[in-house]
Amino acid sequence: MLLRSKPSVLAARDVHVSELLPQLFLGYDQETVPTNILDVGAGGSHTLEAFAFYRSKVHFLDLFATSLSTQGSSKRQEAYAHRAYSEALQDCQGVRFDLCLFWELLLVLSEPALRGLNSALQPFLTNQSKGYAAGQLFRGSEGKQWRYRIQDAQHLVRLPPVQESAVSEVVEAPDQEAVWSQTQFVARFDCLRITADQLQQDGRHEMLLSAS
Amino acid sequence: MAFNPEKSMFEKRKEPAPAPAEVKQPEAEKRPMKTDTLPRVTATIGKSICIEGNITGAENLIINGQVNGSVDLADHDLTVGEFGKVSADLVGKLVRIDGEVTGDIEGTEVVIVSQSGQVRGNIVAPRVTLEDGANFKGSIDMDPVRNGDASKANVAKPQPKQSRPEVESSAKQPSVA
Repeated sequence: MLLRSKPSVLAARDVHVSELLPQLFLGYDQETVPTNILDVGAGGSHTLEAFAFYRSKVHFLDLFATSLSTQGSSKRQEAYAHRAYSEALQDCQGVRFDLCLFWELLLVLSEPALRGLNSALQPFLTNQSKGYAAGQLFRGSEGKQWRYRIQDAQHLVRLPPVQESAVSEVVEAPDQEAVWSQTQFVARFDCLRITADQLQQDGRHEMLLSAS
Repeated sequence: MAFNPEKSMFEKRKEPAPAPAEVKQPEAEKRPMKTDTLPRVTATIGKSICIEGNITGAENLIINGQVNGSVDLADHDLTVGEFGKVSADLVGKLVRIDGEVTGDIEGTEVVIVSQSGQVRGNIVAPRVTLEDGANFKGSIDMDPVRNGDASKANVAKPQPKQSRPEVESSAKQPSVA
């Protein structure tokens, strides 16, 4: 995973209050119980910094680094994606994730990739698992494809668009306003169900997810 | 000039050489060395050095060569330099990775994976810094209470706000895809 983030250069205006993050952090007793966190996406050090005060173990899974097949039928692509994501998760054998953080990609993955991720992730979840997804669903008035990362239990930090082509090709949503409706998303990704969903005017999209 | 066989030029060589001046050692060198006042020593494994085996020590270490095995410096700093290629489990106080590491890393204080660092393995440390551009695959186990760093956990722990009612959005647009 290639980490791309530079919190030190962030301006104050790039920090945004999140209404969903506080709900995510409620109920965790993180000083006594180690929390297994899966950071999914082109990772950064923000997750580490946000959870540095808690007893936690962070696993990184860069799906952008996972090559996917775009050839053949949808079923074949899904099987390929499942295999690729399972291999990427192989280092986490035996781990059950308490929290999955999805950055950018959850709503822009292709249908086979989303289904493949769903089935690959399933064995690593318990009925107590939670999830949180954030990203830029569509370009806002500024016309930029911002990235969002967790700052702390209440805030998200907004990062400039990724310049590296290897990531931006995958990250950037098409010009259409949304990739998946909630109904479509649920039909493709059901290992975690949506408990709260927010879309801001500027295109920032957040979801709270829960396995139970 | 009369020849004096006893004072020939050749005999001059036989004259005893003057005793060498006594080399006086500075007073400080005569005293037993106080190791605790010496500057911290850092050992370096050079670019062309390849080591197979276990390394332990009581001084800081910079690895610019290749190491296969294990490195345990316990209370000292360990740096894998930009040219370092390490296939080993690493233990140190402050561990900085500028090169390539395959193996688990334990830092009793902090682990830093720099911009040029590549790590494949698990990191265990109370504090971990991944710099922009670092290449990392594995997990990071952070326990701020470890090593008596409990103050950090107690003082700086962010407090989540009170629970708010869930906001269900209907603003989401249907997919065009």
